[in-house]
Amino acid sequence: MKHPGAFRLSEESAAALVFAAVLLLPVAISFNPYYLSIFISALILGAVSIAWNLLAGVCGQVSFGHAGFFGIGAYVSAILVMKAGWNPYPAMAVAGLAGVAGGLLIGVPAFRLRGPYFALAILGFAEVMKLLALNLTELTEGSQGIFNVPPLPAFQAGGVVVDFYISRTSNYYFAAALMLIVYLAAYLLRRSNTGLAMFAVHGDEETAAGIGVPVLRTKIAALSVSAFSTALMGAFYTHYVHFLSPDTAFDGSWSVMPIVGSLFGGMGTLIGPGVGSLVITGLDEFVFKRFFETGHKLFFGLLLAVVIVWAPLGLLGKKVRKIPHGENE
Amino acid sequence: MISTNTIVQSLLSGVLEGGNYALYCLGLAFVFGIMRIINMAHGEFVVLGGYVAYWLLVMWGVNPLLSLPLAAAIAGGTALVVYRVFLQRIRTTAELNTLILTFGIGIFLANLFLQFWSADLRSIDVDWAQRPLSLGGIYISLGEIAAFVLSLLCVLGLHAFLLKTKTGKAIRVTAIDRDAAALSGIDVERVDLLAFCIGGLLAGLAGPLLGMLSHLNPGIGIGVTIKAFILTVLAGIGSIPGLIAAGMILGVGEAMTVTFINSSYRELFGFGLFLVILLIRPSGLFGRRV
Amino acid sequence: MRRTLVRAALAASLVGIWIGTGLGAAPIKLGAHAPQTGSLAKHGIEQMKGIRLAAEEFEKSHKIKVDLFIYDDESNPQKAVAAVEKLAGVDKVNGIVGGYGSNLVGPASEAAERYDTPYLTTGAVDTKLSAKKFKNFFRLNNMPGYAAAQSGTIKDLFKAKKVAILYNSLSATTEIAEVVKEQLVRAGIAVPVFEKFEKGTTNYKPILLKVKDAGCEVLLVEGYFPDYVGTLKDAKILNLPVKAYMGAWGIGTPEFTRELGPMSEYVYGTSIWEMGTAPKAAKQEEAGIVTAYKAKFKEEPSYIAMLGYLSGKYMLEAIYKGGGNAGSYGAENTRKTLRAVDVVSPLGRVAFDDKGDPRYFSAVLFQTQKGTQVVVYPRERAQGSVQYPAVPWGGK
Repeated sequence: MKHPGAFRLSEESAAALVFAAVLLLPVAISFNPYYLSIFISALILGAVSIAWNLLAGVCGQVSFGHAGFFGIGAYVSAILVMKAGWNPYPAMAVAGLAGVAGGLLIGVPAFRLRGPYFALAILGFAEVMKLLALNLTELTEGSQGIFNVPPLPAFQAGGVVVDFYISRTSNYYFAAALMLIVYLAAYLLRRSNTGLAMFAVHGDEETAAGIGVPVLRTKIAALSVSAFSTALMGAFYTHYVHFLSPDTAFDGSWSVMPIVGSLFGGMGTLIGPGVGSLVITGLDEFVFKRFFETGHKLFFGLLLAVVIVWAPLGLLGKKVRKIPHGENE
Repeated sequence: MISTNTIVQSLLSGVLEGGNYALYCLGLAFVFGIMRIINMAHGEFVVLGGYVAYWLLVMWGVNPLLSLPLAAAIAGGTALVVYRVFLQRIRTTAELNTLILTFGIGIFLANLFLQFWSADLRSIDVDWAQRPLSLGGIYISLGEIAAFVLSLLCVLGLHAFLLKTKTGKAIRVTAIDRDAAALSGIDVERVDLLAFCIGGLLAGLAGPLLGMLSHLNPGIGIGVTIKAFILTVLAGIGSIPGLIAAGMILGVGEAMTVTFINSSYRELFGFGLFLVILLIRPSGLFGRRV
Repeated sequence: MRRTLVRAALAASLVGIWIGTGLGAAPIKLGAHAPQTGSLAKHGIEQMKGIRLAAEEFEKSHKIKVDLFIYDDESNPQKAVAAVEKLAGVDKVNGIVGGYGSNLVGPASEAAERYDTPYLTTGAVDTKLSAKKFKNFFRLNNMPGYAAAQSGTIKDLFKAKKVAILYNSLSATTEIAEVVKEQLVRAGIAVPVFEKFEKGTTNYKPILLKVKDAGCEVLLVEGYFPDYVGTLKDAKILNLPVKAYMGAWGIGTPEFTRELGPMSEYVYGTSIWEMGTAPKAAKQEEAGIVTAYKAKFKEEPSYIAMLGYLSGKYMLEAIYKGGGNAGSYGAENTRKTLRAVDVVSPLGRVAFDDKGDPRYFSAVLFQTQKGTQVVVYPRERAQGSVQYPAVPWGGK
């Protein structure tokens, strides 16, 4: 394991291992609700990181404002359920679509911009969304926030009632299933022709356009899937935490932590960001906090700096082969 | 309903605020213009400069204006260390790497300040700075005048430095065409180091004024960085004097939004303007086309 | 038969003494969560100091061990829920205290309800929190009590006609602004300027000019420390002609006076408790708490620490009294005991209604005079009289 290249996994087997670990983790922590809730947060972050990385790592479009999509998803789902009396499951799906709408709104004009400009245009978009949530008090209750958002309704599965109000275990597995869905969506997109085009756009936009890759359409496809997944996780978050305010739903950490998680896990892979998020959450909870009560975020900053300079491939970068794409490689 | 006096006073406050904005963002705009690096730790450099002046004032009663050189030196020194230890190694890789790197440095510094100086709010409070002068019913304070003059001096000074001095010219040539500069014998590595340090220095200069006119605490850096970036985009890359105009457009626009509409739309004005300019004219109001 | 009974009684009383002297009695497990990091850390840390002291004092006076479980919720709602889950689900505490900020206490109190664990908070005043009538939710302070101190002072002491309210867009400040406005309007006082601003605003002059144009006598800023600094500095520059400057939270603290010096003079602020403002019946208790606090932490307790102390004390007593000596501290008994509480504390009379809201809570309003906070309202708790009109920038 110490020698890069000596032992390399395919993306598929790495992902299979990760999801197997996620499946078994609750057993290892003997279904302790506290640790489960820590890892539920980690899974939410993991899914957002995978979604972020699809846009950034695969398609080369780094966003600094995924909090915008996360918050849109959270608010749309909560409002549909609480003001229009929807069932939370379809509301979550629509919340995902609202994320796509938001993505198109900013993405179509912003995709003409390159690099940092694009990243910061999305950041501006996220800020505007947050300010709207703050000021459209009729709809969002403003800064007071929305209290008592209902949990996901219980359902029957094979004679067992799966409840989301009390049980952390069912919330955990639901979050894990969402992360799997997000991962599969990213994986299938990556394996498709569009995925090939995304790779080309990442490499060099002009060249890609020159060989007939529909650059804008490719970017929009990546952004749509990414925004949908992020908004979906936002919607899950609101039904899980049962509370929503502009400060928490559009919190800058939903923009920042996926970047940290992705870099740490490895932006060149699809599963890496998921792993990175799980690992940094664990590190923060079980290691960093032991050193400093206040300001343990200091380690994140340092970690980010160290990783990008000395290990830009991340944790899994050298352990996992990139997905092959036929004659292009 | 709204008196002329109020409109004039509000306009003036926007103009003064705009001047401060120009100084708050000068370091970031300079580094971005020359190196194409968005220094996400810029705000933390500003805050560091502010803390230097704060402690000098609290411990030895030093006038914050006299603390400016030391504040600039310490922030510039920090920039030097950041460049040597981290930035130098990934200078030539994708520009997003430097964005993320400096972002991490910013988080690190902000939390370091928190460890050293606690989350307490600090205000560089000097009575002369706040004492109002009345000019026909319009009030202005000495601190505001000092900050405004300093801001103009810094912007024009930097502009002159780039145009007139040999080093300044070398920096400009490197910014325009790195390879050509290297071929003509300019040490581009040194130029990079110098530019980044000047950026830190300028940020450090802004800190004491921020602490004097507003306040300091470990967490405000990122807000300064974002505002600085908005202004850099408004002004356009490479347009140093354009910063003053852009700062005033933002400052006056915010003030007028409050006066004529409502203060809850103030922030929305800034970000809305940012998005519109970014999407319609990415080269900024005063920049050359990119 | 009788002999065995006597022997059993003897044995029981011996055991009782043994338990009573400490070791071995079923210890009470008290849980607490509050931000120790993040934006609200400052307040959470003080609150926790009060709770720690309450646990220690309780151990001394009742000779029962208190296992205190404390978790940092990082000012993050998800972490607050996780903390309550750990406290109630893993540590199986008998009651939970702490919590700072309505957006943290909301989700946290809901988690406590899920685990059927009594939850007594002192850091969340949003009216919506008690609307769901959780049977485990209790708090010592709520919004109407704060607002009444402000509107009462404006109405009874200042007898003002026009008031400007500027408020930070955050949750608690928005709510208090709305409640105070309603109370003022009902009393026939005009509020011509009622404006929201974002945190991080640096130029307050345009908004202050509106106050000037409307001819308001009182400037009420419902905000936090940075907002007071900004508005005071700009009001000084504009020489704003108002007769009083009043703030909500975080004004008049030692930090405030230290940073603003003379600019903190004459400002009004709300508090819940300041040294020496306890009602007569609780003067002795107040003195005892302050002495113990100073001995332990080498500083004066703030009102947040005092609230933390009292929440710990009432929760522990309710657990203890509800469960008796049997060692089975049932949640149902604890709740019943809490609901029956009716005592006079350094904050005034404490009793809870069926939603868990305090029945008699009222904040006090102070004015900073020569660097110290002098309570001026309500009159029965006042330590001095108002200096009105007066503002720190020496305007009209």
